[in-house]
Amino acid sequence: MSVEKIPVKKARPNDYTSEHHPVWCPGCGHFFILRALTKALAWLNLDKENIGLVSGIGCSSRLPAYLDVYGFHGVHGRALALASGLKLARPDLTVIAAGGDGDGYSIGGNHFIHACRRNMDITYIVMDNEVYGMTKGQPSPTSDPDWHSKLAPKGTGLARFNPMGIALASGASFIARGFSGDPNGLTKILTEAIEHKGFSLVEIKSPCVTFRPEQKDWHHAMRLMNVTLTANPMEAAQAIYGSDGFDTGIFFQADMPVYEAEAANEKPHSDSASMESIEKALLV
Amino acid sequence: MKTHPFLKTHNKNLAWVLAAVNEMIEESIYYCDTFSHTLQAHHNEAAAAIFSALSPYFKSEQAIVLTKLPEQDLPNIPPWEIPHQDYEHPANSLMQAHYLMTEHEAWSIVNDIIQIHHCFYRDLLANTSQQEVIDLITSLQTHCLQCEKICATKKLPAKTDEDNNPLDDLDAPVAQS
Repeated sequence: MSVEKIPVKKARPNDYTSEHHPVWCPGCGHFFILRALTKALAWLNLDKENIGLVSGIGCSSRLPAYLDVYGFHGVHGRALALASGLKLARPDLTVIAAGGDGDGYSIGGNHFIHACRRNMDITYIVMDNEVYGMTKGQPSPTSDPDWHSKLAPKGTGLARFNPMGIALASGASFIARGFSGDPNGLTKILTEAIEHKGFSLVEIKSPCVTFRPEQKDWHHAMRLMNVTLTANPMEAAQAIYGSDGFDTGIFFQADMPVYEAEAANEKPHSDSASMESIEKALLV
Repeated sequence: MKTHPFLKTHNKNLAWVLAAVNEMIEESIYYCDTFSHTLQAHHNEAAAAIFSALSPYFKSEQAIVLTKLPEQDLPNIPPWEIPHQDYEHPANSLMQAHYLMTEHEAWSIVNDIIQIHHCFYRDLLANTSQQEVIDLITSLQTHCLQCEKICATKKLPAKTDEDNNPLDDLDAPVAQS
């Protein structure tokens, strides 16, 4: 058989699932995000050995264990720091970082801002359930100020963190919101985010059925894929700040300088990348 | 009614029908197996057993489709495509699951998944004149009806509030106002 006639094997979502089955609480939105991600990877037909998935700590950060790709379950809030290092050392890899709202916006808040600023070619998936679920329900940066629980009986009284607004202001070149209860739309957003050259923030509303059972109602509140894509930051800011948080779609996508290009002057490779070359590349 | 941006509107031939139906059933199987496992991990054996009991039925439904596949060159369906306007993903009903779910709730959820299959088949039948599509969908519907009967037979009456012992869950979340 000639090379031209060998059929290209089309990947299936199950090809990317690991032998470990997820043990999130039944009904948790993260199940549907995991599946949407495997479907996006399958659609893009990416080789498993060319994907690096990095996470921090929390329920959502268990993700690397459930995918049959290279994974690193890192330190709390440091998913983006690890992912940045990985992308610098191995620019040929498709690098995905994943975590929750507490991990990414609180403990990892500083890394988040500067990852956006560098605009490296990383896809950042944030599974936002507005609560620290793994530690039994503390308010997170995206919790409403009056949301109360056993651990914060009167709420925090603090205004919500606006991750998409921060990402836009900090220089991210792809900003989208998805909903775990819209598997089809979410798969589309993830596919576009992975394909995008630059830092992609995919903020996903993902109900925590155990500590935020009222979030089951999100299903009725969401307005799916109703956002108009723009490359104009002013228009994007208007859409982001004008949204009540229940619109999904790609808010902003622009062709912007990617940090990798400067770092690539060194052309680090897994065989040759030294700490010295990585540190040199990181100096802005 | 606003048309969904990813709605499939044309070229719904046999090859597409096979691919689309196969995708839907594969999702149902995946989620039945996954939820059965996680319910077991959360020590809800009764609900877990219901999901694992339904999985083989979906697999035999898929077998009806798979027998036709070798004859067809299947199209690559984008995973975001919506096969019809009222389509709901099988995962949608699973958002009502929780780790303390009763057997009644578990049966209701699997029944909802079967209804999603039914709804798709009804739409296909209503919008096709191709005999081979009609034959395929008719056999799938017959299979679905059998699953429905199982659900109807085994579905237990819903628990009343008095039956629920709050001590069942020693760390129940606080109800929100």
